[in-house]
Amino acid sequence: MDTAPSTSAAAIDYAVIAVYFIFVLGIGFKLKKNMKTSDDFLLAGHRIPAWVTGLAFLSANLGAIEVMGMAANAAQYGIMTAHFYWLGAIPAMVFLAVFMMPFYYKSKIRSVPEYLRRRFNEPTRALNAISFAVMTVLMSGINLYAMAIVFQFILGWPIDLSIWLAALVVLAYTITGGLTSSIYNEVLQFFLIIFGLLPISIMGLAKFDGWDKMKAALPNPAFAHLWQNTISGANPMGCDLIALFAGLGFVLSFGYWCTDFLVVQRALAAKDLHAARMTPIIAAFPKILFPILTVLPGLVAVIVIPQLGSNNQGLSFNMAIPLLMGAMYPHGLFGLGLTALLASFMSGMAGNVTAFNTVWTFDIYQSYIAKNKSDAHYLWMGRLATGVGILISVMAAYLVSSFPSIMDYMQLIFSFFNAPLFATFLLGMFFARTTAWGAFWGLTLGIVAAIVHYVMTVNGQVHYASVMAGNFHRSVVAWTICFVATVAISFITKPKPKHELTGLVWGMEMEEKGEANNQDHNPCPAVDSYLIERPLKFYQKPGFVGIVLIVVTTYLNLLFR
Amino acid sequence: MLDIRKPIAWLHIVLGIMLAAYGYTGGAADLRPVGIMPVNVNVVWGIVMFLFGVIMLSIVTLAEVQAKIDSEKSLTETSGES
Repeated sequence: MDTAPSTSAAAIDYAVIAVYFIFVLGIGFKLKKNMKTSDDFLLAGHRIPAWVTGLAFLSANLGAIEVMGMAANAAQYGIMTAHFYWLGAIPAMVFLAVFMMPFYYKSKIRSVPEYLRRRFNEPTRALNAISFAVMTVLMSGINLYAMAIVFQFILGWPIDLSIWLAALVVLAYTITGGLTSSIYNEVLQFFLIIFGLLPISIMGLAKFDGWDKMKAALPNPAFAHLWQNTISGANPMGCDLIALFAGLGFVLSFGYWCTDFLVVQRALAAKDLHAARMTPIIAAFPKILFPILTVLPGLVAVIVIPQLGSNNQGLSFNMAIPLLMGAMYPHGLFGLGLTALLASFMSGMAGNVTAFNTVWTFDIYQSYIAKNKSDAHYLWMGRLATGVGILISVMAAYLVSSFPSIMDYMQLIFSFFNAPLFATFLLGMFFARTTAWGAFWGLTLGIVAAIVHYVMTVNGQVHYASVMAGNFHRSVVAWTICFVATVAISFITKPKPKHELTGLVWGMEMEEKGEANNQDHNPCPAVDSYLIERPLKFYQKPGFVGIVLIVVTTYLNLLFR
Repeated sequence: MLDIRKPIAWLHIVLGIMLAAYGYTGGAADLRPVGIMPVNVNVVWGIVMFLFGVIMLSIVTLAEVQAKIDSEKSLTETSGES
């Protein structure tokens, strides 16, 4: 019997992977006949139930960064990694559902940049569309690259083969079935990821005879605490309360969950307003439990594989989950584990690609390159953008492979673009006096501030206890500069007339039936019924379920304090 | 349009049978993890996945039957009125 980590797969493992591929491709081809217009392809035509969009919402960012990155973080910083969930995700998801989703959904925008055009002006939209398009293909490249190194290490496949094979499969199902196929596959992948990863956590706990004994085995006792020494910042993550609350809990998390089109797009595909608002709420329940699938294995890995984190690439923190699978899973289950990793990378990549093709087709191509073409033309362009997006992702994968740390690079991009953007949205949606040029220059200054702050950190003029703490503080700086500049410039520039802001700003909602229909010159009142929320029982209301979520999250924070 | 619950159900049924059969027929000659779990992990997890698939399939089948009954009911109602 061999107990060494396996680096080879048996026939049964390949068979499991093959069955998965057949199902994924089958869904894409089955949906192909439904894709008749650019709306079907790029927006999924408002047809999808809330539980499907909810799980897709979660799965689209359950990519390489989440699965491998969070486990790596846990091995490096301990259970404080759970702050990315209980502090850095749940509150923002509830906020999106309760306060922001009605504006996104009711204004019938097709993308987040389109909201910026209607609320502000073309330059603000262009700035956001272009930076978002660049950001998504880079992210998608990170997923491809992470997968390639796993498959190279575990199965001995050449990096080039892994990259191109994964890209081809994602291309096949997104180019046939578009956003619907991507969303449907994300749901399928969601369940597979759980079934593939959960045995690691169960076996890990079984090995140590429960959480208490496992805690005692951790190399650093502080690894078992969420809030120990967070006032002084003398904890494994090097983060003080400002970094945690203002940086991670407010700016970075709200910036990502509330304004990143990759996640918002899933909710916009929901069949009606209530389904759209329930999307982040439904996603939040499994999200609360995800530390079991990502943080816990990281903690198991740091005990079971003591040499983890050494400079040898095969033993980097990122490899925590693949290494545990090799050490613990028998063949068969090992194939399922690999399939789960494959599924997570593919859903992460497809999520980015489908967000990219929508922003490219509607916000860049249709707006600035080819206006007033037929719908068939835009459908064709959507498909072409899917192919080109995947091709750029492949190139980005090779680019990422030349960077020493994936995670640092990615956090950097987020603090540049997402952090100031959240200030723009907050002011845009909740402060009617915000003007178009205030938003544009505020956003630009916020991005510039983040870049200047980064250069100063690199040059040593500003110092932080860890790279992570630096990222959190940078995002607070970028957000504050954007916020202050936007307000200041707004007071010296001319605001938009009130009637142009109807339905886009808090307190200026459109009249439920009349106006929504007149706007579209649509004689049939039934068409817009999906925009009106039917009367709900109290337990169906996003606000009530949101409070339940916050209470549960608070309890977990106290439990592991 | 495709009901995504169907492929999810069938995928778990197929994978569950594959895992359980492989574990049961002694294909897992290398019974990793040694000493962690006193059970045949492939068989147990295969059965869990299989059951998940069956439950999912029954839910979707029930929903289909219900939808069929509803549509027949509304059809007879409308034909009765006219």
